[in-house]
Amino acid sequence: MGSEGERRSYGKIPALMVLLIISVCSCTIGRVYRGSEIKEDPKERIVIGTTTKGEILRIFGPPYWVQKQYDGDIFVYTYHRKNSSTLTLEEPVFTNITFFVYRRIQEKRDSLVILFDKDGVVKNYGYYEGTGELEPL
Amino acid sequence: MSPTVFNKILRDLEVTGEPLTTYPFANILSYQYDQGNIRALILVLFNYAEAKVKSDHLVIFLDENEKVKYYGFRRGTEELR
Repeated sequence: MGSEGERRSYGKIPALMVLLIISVCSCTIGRVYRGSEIKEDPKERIVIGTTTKGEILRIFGPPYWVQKQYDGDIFVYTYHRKNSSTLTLEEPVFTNITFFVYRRIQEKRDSLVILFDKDGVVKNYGYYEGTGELEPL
Repeated sequence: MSPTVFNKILRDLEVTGEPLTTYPFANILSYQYDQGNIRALILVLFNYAEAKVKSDHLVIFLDENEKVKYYGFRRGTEELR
């Protein structure tokens, strides 16, 4: 009985080896760029206490998001990038089984947040260039 | 390329998930046109897909008398050419 069971399990090994041999290892690299880059340097273009909302709209265009507050508005500009790498080992012909998937996703944003006072003059701003931290693969 | 493979790429890239920019305020008007370009190299063993989504966007701020106070415009789709 025991030897019959062993034989049966040994019989599965060639089938498993065939599946592994015909399986396909594929690599997929994806890049997503959403929105427009913040091309103007905020340090050069924005003067706290002087630059107005109209000037900001002329320089940077429409913001991605506007937030209204009791003491003035907030404009948010973002540029979003996503890098993904996927390694897949699958058998696509007979069983359509995926044996292994490795996926790495990096998402980074350049963000500019501008706070205005009640008169529409820049009160403060923050800028963070996150897309520079993206690794190539 | 089969529609199934193309849909899988779109799903993986998540390019279609983002909603349009909206400003939920009565004194802000927003007009937006989104355009996306997808370039893909499908070689079964190695695949490369690149998606760019850009917008032409006009935003108009109105004053209390409903007259234009400020506006901003960006022609983002030019960056796709």
